[in-house]
Amino acid sequence: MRKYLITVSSLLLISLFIIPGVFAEKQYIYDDANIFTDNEQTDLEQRAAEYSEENEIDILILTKNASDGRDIKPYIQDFYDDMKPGYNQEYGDTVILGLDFTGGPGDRDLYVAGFYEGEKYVNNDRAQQIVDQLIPDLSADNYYDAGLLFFEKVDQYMGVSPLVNPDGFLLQTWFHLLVAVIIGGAIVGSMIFNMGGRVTVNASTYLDTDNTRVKSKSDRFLRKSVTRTKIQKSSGGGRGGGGMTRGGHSHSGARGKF
Amino acid sequence: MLVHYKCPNCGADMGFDSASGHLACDSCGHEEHIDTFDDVNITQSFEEDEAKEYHCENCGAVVLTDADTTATSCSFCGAGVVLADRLSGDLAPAKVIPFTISKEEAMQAFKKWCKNGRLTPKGFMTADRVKNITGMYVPFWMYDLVNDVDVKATGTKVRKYRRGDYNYTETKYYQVYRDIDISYLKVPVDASEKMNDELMDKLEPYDYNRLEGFKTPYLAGYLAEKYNYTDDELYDRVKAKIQGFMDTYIASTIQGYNSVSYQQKNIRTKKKKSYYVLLPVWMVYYDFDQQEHTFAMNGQTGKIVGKPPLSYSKAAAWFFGISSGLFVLFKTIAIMLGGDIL
Repeated sequence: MRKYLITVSSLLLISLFIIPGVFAEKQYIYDDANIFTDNEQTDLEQRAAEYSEENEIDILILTKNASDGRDIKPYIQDFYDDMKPGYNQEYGDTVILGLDFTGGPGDRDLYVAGFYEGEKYVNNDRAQQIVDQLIPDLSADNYYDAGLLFFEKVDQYMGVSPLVNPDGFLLQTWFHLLVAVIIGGAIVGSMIFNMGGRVTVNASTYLDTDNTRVKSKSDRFLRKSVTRTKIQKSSGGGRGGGGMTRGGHSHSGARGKF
Repeated sequence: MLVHYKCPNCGADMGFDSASGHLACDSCGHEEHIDTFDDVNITQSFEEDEAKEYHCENCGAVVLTDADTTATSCSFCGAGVVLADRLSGDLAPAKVIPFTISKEEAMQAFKKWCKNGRLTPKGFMTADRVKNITGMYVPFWMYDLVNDVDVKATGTKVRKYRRGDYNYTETKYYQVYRDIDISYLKVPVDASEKMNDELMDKLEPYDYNRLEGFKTPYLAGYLAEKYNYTDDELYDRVKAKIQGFMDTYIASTIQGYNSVSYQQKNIRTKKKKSYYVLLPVWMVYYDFDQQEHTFAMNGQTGKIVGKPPLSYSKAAAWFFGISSGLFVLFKTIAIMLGGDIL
């Protein structure tokens, strides 16, 4: 019994030393297409580690070229199934930016995917917002800047409740100021208007209900008109949204071309 | 013809008491019920030419009135007198709502109202410069009106749905027809030239349960005026007054549509009855900042109307207080949702 206890506690002790080691070796940038210089890659790795730690979610960047025939979306899905990323656990909270350099300029694909907490905070709409904001840098071949922007955006969006659009006017100071001034003005305005006493009679004050009635009524159908408008596809050339990996992990996502 | 109400107990002049609803004697405290007050105590003096000058029975002083006054007090001895000839024949009121708020209560209520003025200057709130407070029976016409209304309108019902790649908006049009009887009872319109119509309209509503058959003793001790406009002359005004009420009622009979546009609204209004009534109003004259402000209080319900002076600094303080409070609130919610501090 005593021996058994020692074994268990020593195992626990060993695992305490090993687990931080696992974290330290974590890789965030998988640059199969070789688009980053060594310096850039080191720098991005470091920043990715910082942002990941701060937001308690793995923030990864994958790049691929024509040597892998898969589309970028299944590529990310398979990567997730194979590499089991996640901040909290294997197959855990993760946001992935995938860049596919298969086509020529203007025909290359990018995809942003969010898993678990990432799916919540970087939902389809937000993934699309990130994609749209990355395209200018990517089209100008500023991949390093695009990587930094990706980290900043994920960092920002992870802090904002999924209920509101993080880039929308609801969170803007000018909007708060405007609404506060309008409501304050309306309240004080109505106070001034009502200073002299309010009219407190209404339509029913003098109504003689015994002798008021609808004697006859009719509601006759005349005609019907139908107009239709085509539902606009979301802008930026994004298609799809999220999906499910072969391993059964649901994710959000959006794509674009650069 | 000048009418005095003499106390059967001590012979002093009696006045209407708003608390008891009786005639009361200030000297001995004796009270008399208005319905049973004996005629022998009502002294009447006839003047030869029924001019605007009367002589007080008590002291012989000249009681000066203007052409509209029907009740007043002798400016020398204070006796409440009623000018009965101006309240008879065509000028006889049908009904009266007696005062239920006494002068002291009115003054108290007015002071309280001033104190609650959130936007009035500080000096105004103390109400220590009230120049005069006068109880006055204001002449009103009350109308019973019957309206026969024919309405033709087009109503639409809108349904939105999605099928395939399209959003559909389906609008159904209906021909709506209504034939409605709308009756109104005792809609009051102020018939005095001197009174501001807007002020008088805001004094409403009165409680009609206390509408009494007119008797001159109700006026004793108060000011009263006769009407300057006949019921026919004010008919257009009462029609305009109920216009909004009718529109509301008509709209309430056409429901279940997303939009209604009226093609035709035929309203035939008939006057079923009109009454000449006197309604109780306390007029308060208040000197503030070298300006006289006039307020009116419903002598039955205590409702006060009239435009008090506005303190711009207080209005600004309220505005900044409310706005900055709301701004902090919005900002806090935004920060809780994950927004930045600035």
